[in-house]
Amino acid sequence: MRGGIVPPEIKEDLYGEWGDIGYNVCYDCLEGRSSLCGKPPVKKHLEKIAAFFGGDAAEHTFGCRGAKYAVMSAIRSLHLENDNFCDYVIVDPNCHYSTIIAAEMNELKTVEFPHSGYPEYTFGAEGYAEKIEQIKKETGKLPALAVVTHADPYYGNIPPIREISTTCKNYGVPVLLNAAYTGGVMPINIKELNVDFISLSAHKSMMSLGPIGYVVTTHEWADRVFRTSQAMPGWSGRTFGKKIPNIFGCSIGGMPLISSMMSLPFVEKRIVNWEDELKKINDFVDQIEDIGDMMLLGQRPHRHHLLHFETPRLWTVSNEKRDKGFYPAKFLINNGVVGLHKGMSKHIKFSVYGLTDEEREKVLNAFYDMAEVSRKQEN
Amino acid sequence: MSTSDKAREKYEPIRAYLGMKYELVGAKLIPESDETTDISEYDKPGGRKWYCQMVREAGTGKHVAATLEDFACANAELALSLRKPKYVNIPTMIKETTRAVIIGPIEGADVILFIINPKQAMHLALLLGGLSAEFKGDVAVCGEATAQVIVEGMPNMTMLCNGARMYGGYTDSDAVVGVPPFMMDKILEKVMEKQSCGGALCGCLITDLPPEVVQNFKSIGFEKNSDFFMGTVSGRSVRVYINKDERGGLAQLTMLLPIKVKEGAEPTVMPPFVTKNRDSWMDIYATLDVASAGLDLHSGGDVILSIMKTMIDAYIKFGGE
Repeated sequence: MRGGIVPPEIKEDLYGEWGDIGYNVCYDCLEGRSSLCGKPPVKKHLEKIAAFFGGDAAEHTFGCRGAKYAVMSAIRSLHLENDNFCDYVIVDPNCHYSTIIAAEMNELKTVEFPHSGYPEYTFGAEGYAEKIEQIKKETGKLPALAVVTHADPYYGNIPPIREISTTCKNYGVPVLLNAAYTGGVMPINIKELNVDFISLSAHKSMMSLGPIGYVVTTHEWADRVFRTSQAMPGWSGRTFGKKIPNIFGCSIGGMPLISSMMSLPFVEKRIVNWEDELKKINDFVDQIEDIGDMMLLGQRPHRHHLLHFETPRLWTVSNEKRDKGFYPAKFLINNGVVGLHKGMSKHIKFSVYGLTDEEREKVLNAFYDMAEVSRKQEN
Repeated sequence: MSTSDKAREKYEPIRAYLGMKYELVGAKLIPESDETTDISEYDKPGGRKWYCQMVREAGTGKHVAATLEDFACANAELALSLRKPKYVNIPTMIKETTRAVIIGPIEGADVILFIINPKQAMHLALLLGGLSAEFKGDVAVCGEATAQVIVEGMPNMTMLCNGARMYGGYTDSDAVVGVPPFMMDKILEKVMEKQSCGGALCGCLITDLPPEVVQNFKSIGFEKNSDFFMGTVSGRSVRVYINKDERGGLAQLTMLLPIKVKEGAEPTVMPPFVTKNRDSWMDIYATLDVASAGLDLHSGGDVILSIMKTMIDAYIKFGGE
């Protein structure tokens, strides 16, 4: 995942200063929760994260899935406390599996609507509206949450978020934007997009070691998502008032958190160049499609760096090779290009985000060389 | 590691798949004519026991070799041919007199015994492609699951007998299935097939197209890609996408020809084909209603191919044609 490449500038300090101790974040913790820690300044970092995404409050989580779990858990409490909401969550048909698992863990039911199918796989607000109406009719209640995947993991499509969130909010349904693939790569603002929660992945898109993610929300929802522990086991009189159950009390610390803190200035700097990056990505798509029998699946022009091509000829050629489906990845590795998913040849996914012009050229040439070998083989 | 451990390890995925509490139990009858097998390397049962009891204990790891004096149940002695009947009319399936029974090891066993519950039996039946349950409630683990399976070479399930329930330590929900050893590899193969059908490399199955539909398109030269098929018709690269209705039914078939526009002159397209531009690509496509077009997605491959060919030849004229 190109968006998670750690800036070389921080590596020395990251390992040199923080690499010796497992409990490195907790060493000077005086508050009993890593997100309240002043040294290193985790609390300040989370304030910056919230502000960076236009939100009011943020907590770090065990990856993006931890963020989604926290939101789903809060939504479950909403459903249990408020008779207007049932236990349904509407998810888009391209959502990441962890969205569905997070709902499942919270005993929430997920429903999806159709996408447009091959070759674009897009969807819009109408799918959400239809499902909300259907659920209202069946249960007499509103779904407790709508989830929109901002750049999906399959095709890198960007749906019309504002239109979707407005539709859902008009019904009174809260909206979670899963920005695992976009938050930290392109500008995102929770208020401009009119959503209630954003889930983020620092190791996917914020130049950090993993596993770490964030949940960002507004004041309206912060109390519910970040509600602190009320538990009182009894006999000993112990309580844990600073711990947040939805993020398992005190969330992940150590190198992932330190890494994300050190990377944030680089993330802030790079998103300014997003439109330039996007143009380079689409130019690359045009060039690689000129090879022939390679076609980008998903939206055109593409609005994200995740590229998914169908490659029927590559599959035919790979079948003739000893390595079969592993041939494309091996060929590229042997030509100095790493990162292609091993075992895939009928269709391939990759990203050239953040590469220099020379590096993109190298990737392109490697694909051209592979095509040339294929042509010779076919002849 | 002994050879029996290796066999047990090999078949462990079967036990894991079924979620079995007990280990698989092998039973091997040593005939009197076999003077070479040394049973002294196995433990003795430790007193007189029921055969079904020894089988259940072997399911917890206690492997033994039992001879006539170790048996507490006359029915088992007769069923396993440790003793021939003199005064009762019990058919003896095992012709040769048995010197000893080795209970536990899988390697070299004459029968593999599964101690399972009804749900597990259902899954085992699916793996076996069917399972007979021929039982009388008498001479059960020894006769119905062991001797009968050895002689007939077919799996059989027994619902046990009173002796097994009273003295053998079996619970109300336990049953025993005897399986001939030669069938174990086939069962294992089925289990591995089921475990490997995770779908995409990420472990998520992104389409539930039935295998028959995939096979049907394969038979006409179309290969399944992520959730669509790719192939060639009349020398043109064609994709087939199965559109689902609201309830997930396979309602429509879309054939689609993606054309890179700058590659040549724009094709002429007639209905039912329509076009859609996507940046530098033009999609030529037609969607057919499966029911009204009389398409059989599960087995009518030749008809589908013929319809696609007729339509493409008649309604799309490419530049230069």
